[in-house]
Amino acid sequence: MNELPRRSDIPAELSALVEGYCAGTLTDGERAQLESQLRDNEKYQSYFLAFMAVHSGLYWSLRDQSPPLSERTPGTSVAPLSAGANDDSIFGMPADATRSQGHPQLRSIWSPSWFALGIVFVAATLLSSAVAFFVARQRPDHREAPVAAAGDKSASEKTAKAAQAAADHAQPVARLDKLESQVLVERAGAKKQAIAGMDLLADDSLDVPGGGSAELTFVGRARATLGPRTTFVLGSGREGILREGFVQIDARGQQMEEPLAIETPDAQTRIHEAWFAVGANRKRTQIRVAEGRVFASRRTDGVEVEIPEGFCSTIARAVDPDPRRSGNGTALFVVSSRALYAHEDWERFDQILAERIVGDRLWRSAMPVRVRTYDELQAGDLEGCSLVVLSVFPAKVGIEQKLLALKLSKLATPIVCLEPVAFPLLGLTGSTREVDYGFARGPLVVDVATPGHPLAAGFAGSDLKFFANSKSPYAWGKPAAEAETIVRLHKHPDRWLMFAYDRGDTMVEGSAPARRVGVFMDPIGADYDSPTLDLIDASIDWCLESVSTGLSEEYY
Amino acid sequence: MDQNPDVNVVQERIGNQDCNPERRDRFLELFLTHQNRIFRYIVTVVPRWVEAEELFQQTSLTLWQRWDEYEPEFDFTAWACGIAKNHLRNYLRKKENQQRALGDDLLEQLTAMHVEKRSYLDELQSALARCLERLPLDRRRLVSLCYGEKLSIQAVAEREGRTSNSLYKQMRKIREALYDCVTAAIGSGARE
Repeated sequence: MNELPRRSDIPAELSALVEGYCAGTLTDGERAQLESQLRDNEKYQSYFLAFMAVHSGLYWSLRDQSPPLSERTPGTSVAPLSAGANDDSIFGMPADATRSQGHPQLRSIWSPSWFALGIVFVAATLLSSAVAFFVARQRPDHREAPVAAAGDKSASEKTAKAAQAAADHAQPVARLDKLESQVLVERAGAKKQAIAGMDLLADDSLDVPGGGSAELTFVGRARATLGPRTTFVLGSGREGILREGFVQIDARGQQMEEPLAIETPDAQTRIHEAWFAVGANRKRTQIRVAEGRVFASRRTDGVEVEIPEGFCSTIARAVDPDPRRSGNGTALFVVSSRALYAHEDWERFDQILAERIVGDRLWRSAMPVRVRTYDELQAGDLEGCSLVVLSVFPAKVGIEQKLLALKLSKLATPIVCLEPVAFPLLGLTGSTREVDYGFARGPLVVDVATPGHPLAAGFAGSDLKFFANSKSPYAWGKPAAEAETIVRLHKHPDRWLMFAYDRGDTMVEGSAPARRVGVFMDPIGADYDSPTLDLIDASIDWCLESVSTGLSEEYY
Repeated sequence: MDQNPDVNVVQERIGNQDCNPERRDRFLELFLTHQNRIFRYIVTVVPRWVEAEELFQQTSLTLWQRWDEYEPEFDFTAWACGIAKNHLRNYLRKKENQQRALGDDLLEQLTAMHVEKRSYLDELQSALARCLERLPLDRRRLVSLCYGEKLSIQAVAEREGRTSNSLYKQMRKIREALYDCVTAAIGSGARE
């Protein structure tokens, strides 16, 4: 019988005191309180001993610690193949190895000898993958040979396959089931409007416009949904190339002899049975897996990664592809209607363009996006979404009252808020304009206060010039002391352009029911690749990391 | 056993004294099997690694010095924790450590419970390795810096470009998450 109490059965006050004891931060009064609660209480003592056993266990298991795997700021340099860190065969002790009580072989996975062995294995894998990759890429046109996982086809098999592909060229490889808006199909150099029900052939290229979507079924029954501003090229039936945009693939229940393969500018993926989404832009590919697992390799160097269910991976040059926990589901993006843009007090040109770009970044984060204007937003829209992104809106036209009525401050879904007027409504800041939140103009020069934080997106330093001038304002806020404060206006220590609360943190009003990020939207907006948009990408990723997808998500 | 790196450490502590090899081997066998429990008990009372490690070494030496007093029918863990408790009392009685001290009566209660629940605590620590591997890489890195390299929170914060406050918060969440994970792991194992 498990005699160790769950933390949920322990009063939060005691839990906090025990943690403070562990961290060495208790005052004399708090220590006396802790003693008083523990004395003569077997349940609380049991909890205390168990918690301290975790603390001592960490020391004990890591007491022969090697230097850490990487010294880099996350996301800014290539890391070793850290997927191996989860691979028992590389890093030594299987997770379920029996360990005798106090046996000194309870070693960290970072023990020097295993780490060295892991590096040798990784180097060998990279070398063989690189060789196979360059051999596979000799072909100029994917019709001549299918997209191949590195090193797994002989030359004769490839030739036979190419011949078969040519023979099958005229056969449909997919059917376009459903579409919204004017989707174009390019075939043999000619573009025409796609119609629902039409057969699609190998090399057909589908262009989905803004606001549009397309659903198709491959031969072999895997289904794909294309998002807005997406270009997708069909291969020979079990292949596709996502040039940019979003595709969600449902290959569950498929019994395919050969894997389904999706290529992007940065990655090649192989799937047997999975339900996952891929987002691609000029800088990166994001893969988010809802069910099953996806194998992906980075095209630049062949680094491979296995992305399990409930995880996502970023495939890009000089970015760690290590899978990280991530929610799936839909993102709700709330925007202003065009009528509001005409409001005479709201001088924000280019906001339409900026919103479109933020929306695109959401899709290209491999998140399906539901867009609602503030006018049409209802409580039902908030249900079932994994993330809410609040775009900008003009003040005093009734939107504040609507957001209050929707009780967004209590919503147990992560929110990324781009509008400073909404900061106090969500409890993120106080309510006095130009004191607790406000708008800045002119050159955007920033200091990155916590460069190591995932939200900093790899930015570091002070006096960083993001853009030279802006007639339109950009947002800042002054959050509570417990907030993570990431980027501030240069020479304005209280004006934070990016700040965040983790779930449970004390905000200015209430505690955060889920992660919250306040971040500015670049009002220039015209530059799709503006580095400031990386901060929004980081906000999305950080929020989704906290979304529960299974038992283990409760803990992390 | 001679290839166990900890053997050399303990022998160093013992000092390669001229003694009966059989007696020494028997001590080492028991000590190495139970040392994790002794360390765990000491850290419970003195959570800071530097002091805990020093007290652990003192305890190890005293255990060897008093090995003649040990009877085979004794519970080694109870006996060893009793000796550790004396070292802890002496440490806590020093003026500069008094502000961190747990009261004597509470210390007695915790010592007794620690011995009584040692099997569950062993199981918890076995589950800890599995739960550690499930941590995201960035959090494992923090754990490695704080517990492996024994850096202070302030040193880690400086190194990572974070504030101490945010790091305290994150380490709290990591410890709590690991606790939840190991208790769930033990719970699900018990149901099996």
